[in-house]
Amino acid sequence: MKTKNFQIPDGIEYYMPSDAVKLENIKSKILKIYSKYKYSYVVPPIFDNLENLLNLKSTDLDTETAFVLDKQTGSEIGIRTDITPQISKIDYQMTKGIGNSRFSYMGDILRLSPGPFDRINPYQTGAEYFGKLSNSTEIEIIKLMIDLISLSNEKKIVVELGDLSFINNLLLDLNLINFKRLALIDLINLKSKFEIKEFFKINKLSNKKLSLLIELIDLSGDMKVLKELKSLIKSHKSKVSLELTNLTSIANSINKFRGISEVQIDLCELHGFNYQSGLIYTAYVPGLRKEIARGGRYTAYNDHSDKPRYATGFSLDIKDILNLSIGRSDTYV
Amino acid sequence: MKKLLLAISKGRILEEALKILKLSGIECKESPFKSRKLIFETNYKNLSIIIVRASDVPIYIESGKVDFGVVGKDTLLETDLSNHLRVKDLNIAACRLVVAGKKGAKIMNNMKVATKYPSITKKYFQSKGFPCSVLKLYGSIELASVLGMSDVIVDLVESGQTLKQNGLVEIETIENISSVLIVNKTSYKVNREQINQFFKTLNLD
Repeated sequence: MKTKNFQIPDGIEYYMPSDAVKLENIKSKILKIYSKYKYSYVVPPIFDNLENLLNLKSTDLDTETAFVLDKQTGSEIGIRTDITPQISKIDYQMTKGIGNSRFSYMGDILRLSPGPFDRINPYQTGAEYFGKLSNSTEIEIIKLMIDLISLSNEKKIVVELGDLSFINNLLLDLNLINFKRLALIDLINLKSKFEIKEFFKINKLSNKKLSLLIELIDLSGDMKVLKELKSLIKSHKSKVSLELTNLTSIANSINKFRGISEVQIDLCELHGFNYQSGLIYTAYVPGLRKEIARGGRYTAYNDHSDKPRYATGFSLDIKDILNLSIGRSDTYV
Repeated sequence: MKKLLLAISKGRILEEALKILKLSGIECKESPFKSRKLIFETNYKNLSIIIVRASDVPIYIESGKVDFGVVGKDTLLETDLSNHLRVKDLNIAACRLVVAGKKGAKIMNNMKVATKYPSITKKYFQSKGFPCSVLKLYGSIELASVLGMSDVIVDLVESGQTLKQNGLVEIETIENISSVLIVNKTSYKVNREQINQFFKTLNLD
């Protein structure tokens, strides 16, 4: 409908002169941080071939990516919902999957099904490391993430560390059919112990596995829980004790980084697009109703080789950082 | 210390939730049943209570402006908002979510189903292998079946008296419902110690 007034869809914002300048200032500060950490900056396009947008194994990406029909060729092109797959393709293009590489990026993305307080068009930025992963690469990239979040001027940053191996092993042992597996994952995300107990009862699943899962949910919190988790893993003869040792080492290195980060541990947090595996990290600040940044390990694009190419990376929305830095409500879109 | 806010659904859930709080020594400074205020201070340090419509509780929690909520499981099943943790089934305001209709009615293909819960209804009928059309109503759901506006209804039933008095019978139970304490995920992660202390006071175990 034509109207003389200025109308825009829900969840979309324009940046008028004063805000636009502030946004550009934040972007330039972010670029300086990337440069300091030696993450090469790249600018992939918002529209791209589907192959470049959907190359990570994720059903979430498949459903969240919007398609546009190219009428001339009859082929579909996508509007990205996450920049990480494009960076993974750039890495392969530049390295052929050999050696280590570091990339950073920023740009518009489209979120097709936002919640009532989410924006449809976040301005995503992030960093990705490809190659041989170690505790020191994870520590480096999490510190980079904390430095970016500190541009929000928040005085406390909770960095929650988890590792999907624990829950993935448990789910594997339960051997559930897919829709039941997804239902249980939803309940684990909600930490709904009473519904998980009911789920195990209805599906006649192992009580031993149930008690392990409930203990894993209960053992979330500050660094003190690491010791108890170690005994729990030992008592259940789990195959993931190396993962816990690595998690402990990373937690020790990033706790109190810059005097503002506070590490928490949660092995039952299963966030994000479902291409991640292994170590994951999520950051929270008091001023934002949801996580401010999230990231983790995943298997990157690698076309020809049988050897998987591993990666780790995170992303966040620069518009959240801007709103927090100028004291604007986090429900502002 | 952060000022914590607890949202409670109006009606029967409110009455029973206030009883649970009272058992833990937590009381509103003014009665929510007598005052027209929207926010009620309590005698627990840094805790206030807001009373809202049941279906609005998840959105207050999603916004992060309210830390906890006491809400029926029916409302949680109906919403797709998930920025919260489900802390405890409080076992209050118990009832059942059922399919009901005229005597002899049974679930079959292409039914028109009147309900306040379109999402749960669609999922339930699909899971049974019977696609249906949903007619969304906001109250007096039974009337739809009585007047023939719908083939069956999906609604909450406590004693079954309303159904009986209107000549309807229960066909199937979809879910046993009670009220759940939920907490905003970020609020919990950022204020874990303070919130755990509150849960301890409530003696939830």
